[in-house]
Amino acid sequence: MQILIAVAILGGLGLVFGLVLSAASKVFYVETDPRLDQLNECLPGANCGGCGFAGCGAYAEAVLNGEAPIGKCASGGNECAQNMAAIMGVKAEAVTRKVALVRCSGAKTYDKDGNLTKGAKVKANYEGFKDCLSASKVGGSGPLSCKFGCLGYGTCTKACKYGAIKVVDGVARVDEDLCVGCMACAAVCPRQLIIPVEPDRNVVIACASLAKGAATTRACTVGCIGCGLCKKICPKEAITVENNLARIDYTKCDNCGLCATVCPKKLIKDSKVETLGDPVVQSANGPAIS
Amino acid sequence: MNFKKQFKEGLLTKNPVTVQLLGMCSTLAITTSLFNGIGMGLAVTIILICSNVLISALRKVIPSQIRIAAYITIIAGFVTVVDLALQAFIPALSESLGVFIPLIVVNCIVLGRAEAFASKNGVLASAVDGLTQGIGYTVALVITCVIRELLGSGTFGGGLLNGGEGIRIIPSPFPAMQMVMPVGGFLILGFVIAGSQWLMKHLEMKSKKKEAAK
Repeated sequence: MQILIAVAILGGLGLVFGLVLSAASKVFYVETDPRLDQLNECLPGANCGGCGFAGCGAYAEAVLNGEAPIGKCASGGNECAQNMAAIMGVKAEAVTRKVALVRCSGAKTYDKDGNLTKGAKVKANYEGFKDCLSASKVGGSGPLSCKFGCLGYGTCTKACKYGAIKVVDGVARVDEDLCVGCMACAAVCPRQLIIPVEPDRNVVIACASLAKGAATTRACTVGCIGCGLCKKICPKEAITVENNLARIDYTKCDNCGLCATVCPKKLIKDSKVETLGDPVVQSANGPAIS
Repeated sequence: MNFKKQFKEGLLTKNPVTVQLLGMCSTLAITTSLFNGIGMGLAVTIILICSNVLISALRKVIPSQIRIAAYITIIAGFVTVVDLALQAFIPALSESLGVFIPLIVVNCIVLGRAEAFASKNGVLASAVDGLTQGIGYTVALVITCVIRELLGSGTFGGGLLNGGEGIRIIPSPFPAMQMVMPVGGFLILGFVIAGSQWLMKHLEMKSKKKEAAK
């Protein structure tokens, strides 16, 4: 009986207040801009934060208030930008898809005796917390001989909401089919190795070593030594060498792949030239994607 | 029922902030400008009166085993109404107080008064208790706000006077930003509590002297 009274009273209170609240929500109704809901519908709702706002809702509000430009949503891509532009009654420039690139080729391969045959040399065994930021603080510059290389403890893997980045042979690899280009991985990489690139490029320089040639050679078998051969052969003058590191300007590059043929470290990879062996980017356990 | 005694209790000797030390979360968080302090104080006062009245009216009906659940239901109902009303009529206050308005649901002052007073006293006495406790809360908030705002931002009446900017008293490079940060909240609240304790002792001594003189 007591239980029934308790249930009746709480239920009654709930019912009365439910009615009061529904009345209050009508009386105190605040009109919101209907475009806000429409904008929210356009956005993917992944809340990846790639646009620089707290989430999709915050970005939609900023666009509505004119505080943010359309087209910052990497995940939604061009379709999302055009839809948002239609709602806001403005024209949006076409948004090209970008994917993340890890600028390190130091994936380690060992022969059967355990000697390193290819990749970045390890100068110490790191036994601490499995996180790149922690590892990068140890022993001056982390357990790798290369101060610039991927540490491979997967901090970026944890940051990726799309499961597009995995550590293979000690180096993070991006699955470009899954990557939406939100660059959440780039924000957490303590070595700032990850940059956005267009997915339809053919050549990449996957190295970030600013050390001098000799030091790079001591630290890694596939590091850029800044020799400048690629710069010399490039017919479009798309390659610059700065601080001992070659960079490709993709606005000039026409994907001819000549640079890949001359690189002494076989670091510049071209998916057209099959003899170069390893593809640029590899998914975790499958064929090359690029 | 003694209205004068209740008023003195709410304002000083049983002040919810400086003596009972209830509702510290919102007290420390929002006391950064006069506008916030008055707004929060009024919101809590209204909710206190409403919930005290309803709870004291229902005190014989609600079984004691489920009383807390029932109180929270009642308080949450009133808080949501006030929250909606603020969003509709004073959006600036609603934005500046943010989550602390919905959090009044779990503010210990409201539940504390429901449990300690409204569940044992009549409707009128409970309404007066809600009013006096609410005024006590508001006064404590406003004093803390005025000091913190003056030291931290160098202004008086931020959000209310001078088109929301407040009247500048200390020139802009001098105010100590820490005073509007949490550390300043703790410090100033400590001084406000000390001040109220001193005032209570002072009044007590005075009344004793009066008695002795008689």
